[in-house]
Amino acid sequence: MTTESPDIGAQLIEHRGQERRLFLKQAAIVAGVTAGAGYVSLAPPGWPLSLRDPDGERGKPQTPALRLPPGGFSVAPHATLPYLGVAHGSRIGPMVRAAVDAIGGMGRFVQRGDVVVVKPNVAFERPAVLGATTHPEVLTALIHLVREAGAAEVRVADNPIESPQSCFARTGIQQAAVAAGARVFLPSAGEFEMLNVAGATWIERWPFFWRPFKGANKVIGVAPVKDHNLCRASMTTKNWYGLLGGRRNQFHQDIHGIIADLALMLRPTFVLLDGSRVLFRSGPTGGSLSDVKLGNTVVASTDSLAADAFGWESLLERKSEALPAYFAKAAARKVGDPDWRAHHVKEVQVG
Amino acid sequence: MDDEDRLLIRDGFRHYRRRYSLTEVRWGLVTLGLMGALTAWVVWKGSHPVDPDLFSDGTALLKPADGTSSLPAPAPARVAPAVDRGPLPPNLAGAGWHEDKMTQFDADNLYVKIDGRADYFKSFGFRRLYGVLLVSDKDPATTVDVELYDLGAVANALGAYGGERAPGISPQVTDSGLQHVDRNALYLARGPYYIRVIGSDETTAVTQKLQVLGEALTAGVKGESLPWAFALFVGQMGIDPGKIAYFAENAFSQAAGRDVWTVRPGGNSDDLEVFVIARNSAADAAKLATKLRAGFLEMGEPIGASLVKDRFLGTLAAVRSTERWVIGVHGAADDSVVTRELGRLKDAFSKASPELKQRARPAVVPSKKGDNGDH
Repeated sequence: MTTESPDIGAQLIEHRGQERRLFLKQAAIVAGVTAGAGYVSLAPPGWPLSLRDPDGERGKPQTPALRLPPGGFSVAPHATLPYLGVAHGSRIGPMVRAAVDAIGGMGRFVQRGDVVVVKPNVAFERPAVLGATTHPEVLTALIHLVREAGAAEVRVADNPIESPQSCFARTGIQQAAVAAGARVFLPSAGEFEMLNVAGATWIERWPFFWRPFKGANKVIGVAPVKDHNLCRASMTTKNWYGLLGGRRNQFHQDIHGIIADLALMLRPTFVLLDGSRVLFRSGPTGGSLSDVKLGNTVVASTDSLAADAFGWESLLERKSEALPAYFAKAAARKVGDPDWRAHHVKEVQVG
Repeated sequence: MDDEDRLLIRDGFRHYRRRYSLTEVRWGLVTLGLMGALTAWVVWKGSHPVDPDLFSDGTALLKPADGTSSLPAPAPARVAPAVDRGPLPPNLAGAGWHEDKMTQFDADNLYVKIDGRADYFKSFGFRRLYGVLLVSDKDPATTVDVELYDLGAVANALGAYGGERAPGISPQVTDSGLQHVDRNALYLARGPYYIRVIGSDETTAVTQKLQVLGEALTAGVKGESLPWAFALFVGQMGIDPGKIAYFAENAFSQAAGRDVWTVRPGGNSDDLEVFVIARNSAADAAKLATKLRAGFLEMGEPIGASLVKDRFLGTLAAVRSTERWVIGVHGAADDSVVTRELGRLKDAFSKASPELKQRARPAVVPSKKGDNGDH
């Protein structure tokens, strides 16, 4: 039989005390780490140090996003000038000039030294006569007016999905732009940047054909009047689609939503609706000359929705049909007014 | 006190024993091996995703350039390598012309060619587009685009063809397809293929080329007999073949409106449509007729036992089944028109030959459920 020595008993007491302190210390560390990990993982995303990422968006690589100028490239509204300038005639040059003159003339929009981006519709590799793209003569006349106003540089840009070189060549846009003294920007390496469009549904962050816009302070859209298989009509608002990059065809799932986004994305200096010819059927590609009729009209406005609504009613001759849904969606964002009749319209006959 | 005699754990993170047992080492190695294998699998799967674009929001299409900017993948890279002519006959260029380039597009990249209209062809069962650009040797600006759409079935080709044909144009009917020339363009439906040939203008050089191409395509692209609906509408009822249309889906804006043959006896400007749908059994036909009537009722009110008056247009519709077929009238101005047109349809079926009746079957294979077309 052995008896426990007093030294060993004291050691045991001391050992228990040390073990208790050690246990409490380790438990506190574990609890602290657990609480910290719980906080950073579960705290709402806006809270300090929160790592919570419920939809995985925070984990994606963030590319710096650019923004277009606040208010876009628009000029100040004018109280007395017409809202819509409509020129009818058979000669394209005089029609373009008359339509722009009707809303104040090019001097209202372009000043000496301005860098102006002109965005035609060069979407398809089709000759211009088939009506699927902007007529080169309309572009020529517009560039001449912009240069007359003293612009330092005129840039012509579009991003067709099919080979840009072929599209620009076969539509005649390349030759027309260069001959008129503009610089053509074909989409290629290094020319797209991530654009932030605040409030957009589909393109809040989306690759945008940025290079032509670098340093530009005025933007003019010039689009044909076309039937469209999905959105029923493609005119000046839909024309901005040609500035998007990436897999933009997916937007056709909500074609009206994306067009409303486009109206929000780009507030132009003004737009020109090329109604010299109208692709009234089999759009947006067309093919047969039987799908094209002479419109003999050019429309200018600072409001693309108003210009398009005019085109819908007067050029596509669909007055009896309701406007496509994108008009109401865009108007709800206060980026235009499809009710063009509510505004001052000046119609002139030229040529 | 040596280590063997110690009672206290001086370092709380160490255990008593100085070394692991052999069993522990083995289990540790097995665990490490499994973790390594798991890591390798994750890395491999990450670099070989099933769908590379699954999580793409467009960012992936940007790549750095000069360290300062980025760009989308150039569109031409999406075009499939153009080496296969598919059903296109060889040597389409002929004298005075040359082939500039050949292209092919499938359902995934058709939008590259015709963004905005791709869905039109997809609604007709699009499989593949074969294209060739012909350029005049004399003037490079004078071109002809030949586009051959493989739509998988003769009914689809006729449907797409009919949808693109301008109103008022009567097609040339052959025993193996339809075709017509419309100013600068030539259109053909041959077998499962819809072919459109688009000239850059309507000069003599182009129109002559269209004629030559028409002959070459007719000879070189195999056609098929026209579907039974042509025999019914043209042969039995004497209707202009240019007034026949085919809807693979969504006829009358109804989900049940699949595989529908229609004619507009009064032309496109007239709302009146007469239609017929073939089913595999009388029971299927009866079910489908009930569904279509219910669809018409959603947009109108019943008039008597069989008519439906459109709430907005004020026109009348009627649908019923006869044996394996659903027949109907849509957009009629009054009930006498309905009675007349339904009578013509029933009469045509009653006088149809057994061979025609045998041919009058669905173009689209029903789903495995084999029910009434709601698939």
